[in-house]
Amino acid sequence: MERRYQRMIDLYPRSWRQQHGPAMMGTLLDGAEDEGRDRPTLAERIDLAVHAGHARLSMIMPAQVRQGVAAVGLATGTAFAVTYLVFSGWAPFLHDREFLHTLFSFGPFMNSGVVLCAAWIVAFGFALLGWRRAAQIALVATIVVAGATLVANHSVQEWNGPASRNVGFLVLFATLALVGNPASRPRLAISAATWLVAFIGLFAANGMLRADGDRAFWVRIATPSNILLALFVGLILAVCLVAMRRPHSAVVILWSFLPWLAAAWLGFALDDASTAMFLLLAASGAGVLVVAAEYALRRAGVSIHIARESQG
Amino acid sequence: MAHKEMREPTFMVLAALADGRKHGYALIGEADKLSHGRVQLKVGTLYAALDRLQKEGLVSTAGEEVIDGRLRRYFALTEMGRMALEAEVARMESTAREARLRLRPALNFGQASPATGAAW
Repeated sequence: MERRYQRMIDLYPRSWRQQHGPAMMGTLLDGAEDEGRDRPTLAERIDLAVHAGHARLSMIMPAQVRQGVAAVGLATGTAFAVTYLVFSGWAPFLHDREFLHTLFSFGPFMNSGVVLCAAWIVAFGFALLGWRRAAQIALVATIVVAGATLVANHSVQEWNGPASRNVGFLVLFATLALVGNPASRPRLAISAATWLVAFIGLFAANGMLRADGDRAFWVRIATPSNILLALFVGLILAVCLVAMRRPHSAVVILWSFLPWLAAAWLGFALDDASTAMFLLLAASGAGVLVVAAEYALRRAGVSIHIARESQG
Repeated sequence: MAHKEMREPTFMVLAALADGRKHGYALIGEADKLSHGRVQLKVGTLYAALDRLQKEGLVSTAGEEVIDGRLRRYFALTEMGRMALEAEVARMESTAREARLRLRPALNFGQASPATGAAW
């Protein structure tokens, strides 16, 4: 019994185990004895595994950063989902809708991406209501729907599915949204509204309000060069935030570029697969080096603190 | 500064500690009792909440003992924890009071409607 619980406690990071492990073990054994059990329950196993995962994630992404990344992921993903739903997946402003009959889709929709977008909007609604668990379940549902959509895209030739890049983009934002809980619901609403205005503005400026193809966003607006330009601006902003003693905000900005960079990489891959593979390997190597360096510093007991200077 | 909404496990842990120090398993039992069986804290959830509350200075450790070879670590509310709990209780009471005020006209209307026979 104790060995079974120990195996689950071993899922936690070493520093956590040192601090809470023996007390947790005592509590788990007290509970099992009180209930007359000789093995852990499934609910206990899931609970310990989930919290061990959270504790490990907190080692590389502190809670404050996770809150920010989740808020950015949820706000940007929702704004993109709404824009895609209205101006691409459904496109009610399209004048000549006769050709819709020739598409292998359903209802008045151009493609099945609308189901994914609807799931996103439901997740955002739950998050705004403060129903965190329901929002997380809805976000996981969007990832499942995205997987099913991609399978349908590849297995049914006539199926008019959404572009893989749109689906992957929403999956990455859902993943970011799942790493934490947004700290402020009003700020989440304002952030989503700001992104929505930005997306609609960009669609309008590029004449895309009447459905201009599923890949138009990536060909006209979020081209690899535009994304790299935005990354450059983001890096400057991150440096400014660090200088202003706001390192968490700087890290949130860098994390929020992940879905955009993945989309840019896919753009490269479609043009030049070998260069894209080289870039991916270089980025992965750099990522591993950063994580290894951070781990080594932590093991050596070195930590970097950026303190806010006292005023007056 | 706006008061940050407290999550239920956090509230339950603080409320369970309000009348004195407790160890992990006693906290789980107390949360169960306080919520009339609605909130059943799991050990992973409890220690995640305790870890966060300790870092925020709302809870502190208050001694340890070993019983039958098992470590029992006791936790207690700090002064800041007591203030946070009081603020949360006041917020909940205020929300409940507002909800009751809104319910009152509807209740009066509901009592009056049978005479008129109105279904709405």
